[in-house]
Amino acid sequence: MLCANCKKNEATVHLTEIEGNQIVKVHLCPACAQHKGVATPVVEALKNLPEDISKQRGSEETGEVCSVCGLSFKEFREVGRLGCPNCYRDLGRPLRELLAFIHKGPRHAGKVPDAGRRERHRLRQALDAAVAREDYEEASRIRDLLERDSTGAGDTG
Amino acid sequence: MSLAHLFRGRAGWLSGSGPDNDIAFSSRLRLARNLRGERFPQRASDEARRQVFARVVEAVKSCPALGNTVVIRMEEITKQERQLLVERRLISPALSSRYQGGVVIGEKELVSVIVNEEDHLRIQVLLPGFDLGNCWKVIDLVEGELSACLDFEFSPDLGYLTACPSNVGTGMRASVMLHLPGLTMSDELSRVLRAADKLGITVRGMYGEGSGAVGHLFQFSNQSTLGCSEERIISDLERIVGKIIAHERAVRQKMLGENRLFLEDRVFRSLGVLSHARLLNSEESLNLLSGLRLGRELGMLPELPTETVNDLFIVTQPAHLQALAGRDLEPPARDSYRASLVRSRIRGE
Repeated sequence: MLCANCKKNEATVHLTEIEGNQIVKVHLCPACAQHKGVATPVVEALKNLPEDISKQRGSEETGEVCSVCGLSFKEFREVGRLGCPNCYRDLGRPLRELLAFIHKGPRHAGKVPDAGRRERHRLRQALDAAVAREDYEEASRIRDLLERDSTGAGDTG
Repeated sequence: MSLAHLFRGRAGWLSGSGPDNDIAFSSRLRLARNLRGERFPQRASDEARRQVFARVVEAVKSCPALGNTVVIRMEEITKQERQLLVERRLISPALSSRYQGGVVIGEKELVSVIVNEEDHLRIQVLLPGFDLGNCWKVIDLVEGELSACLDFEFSPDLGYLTACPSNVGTGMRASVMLHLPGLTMSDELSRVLRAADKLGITVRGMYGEGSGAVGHLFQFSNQSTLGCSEERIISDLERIVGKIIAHERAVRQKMLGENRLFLEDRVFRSLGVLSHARLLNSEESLNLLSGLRLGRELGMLPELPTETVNDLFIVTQPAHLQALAGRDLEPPARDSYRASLVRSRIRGE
């Protein structure tokens, strides 16, 4: 079966769309499917933003540019992807509005990095390095730090 | 372990085991993570992406939870090998060699880490059946081990920062793939899909974003990643998926009670065509395999192992067919090879 879009390649992606109680089928090749079908949820959400946010967007988008990677809110609207972690700070209000629109809550409520675990890993690496260069004084100091730390934490990773 | 070796075995998630495996094909959790202070892959330099790749591979190698791993760089494999990875659900079609992308695959393909796709890391756990609880145990362990040697970008307010704002917070996407022929045949599917959407659940086809719901296979996943804990996201999805599974089971029982002959006819027609056809295109084979799986699930085809049916959903895809044939196959030749492969697998060869 040929792709319904380009009519050249074999259709291997079979989209099923629900319209009322009808199932409509569209057959595409992978390239056309990616081109047509893979609209990201964010690009979709940006199109469907409530009117009050859309109005603000016009005035905000000219000034909002990330100071680290140079991405503007306008560019972000086109590609649907941010450039760097700092974009979350510099693209400010329009981005916060978008987050409020697509997510259940405004604040993170999940897993938090275990800073102690990372520190223990760093100390273990430093200990190996000190032993390798036969700096036993430094090695013993690091071992003390690790031992003091492990009395409070039950983690061995 | 090489790429060729990897594909000689069956992926662990196709084993046909796990809870509710009469309806639930597989469960998947994915966590998006980025390295602190680095631009996201699509806006970083080639050199920065190469360094990220090296740092992630180094960290993954020292991660005991992954066991023996295979490291695959997109720039070192052919287009067909890349498609093989997509068909096995190990990477998304978006993973490109353009961004120095790659994937590290753990034993039995149950755990994998995609590098330099949209985010620096996408950690994935894929298990058979409806088993998000065990997916979470495994992924929490793997992420914890990786976080000991990699510093992930995290904000106390917004959680783990990701290239796409739709993943920020937990960075977690939970999904369950269900086989729903009963709901589809009874015209109740659109009602279920609309209700799922209202409850914050996205519905997609077998291969995720943009793929179709062929073979009566649907993936249900959470939409929101910010504002809820990982456990809450999982329990919300479990509750809704649990109801859909119960609904599908009830519809099947009702159809068995009212019109068993209709269901039997459907199952044995599927078996008949798959056992004798000389040409099968990809859509037809997936739809007939759905009939075969339904027969297996209803106990009408007791001699047919579930893993054989599950495996056929994957090995009848174009890249797998060509890998098994050991040569490129144009679409007409592919349909003929697909038909002969299905016939021999059903005969147990």
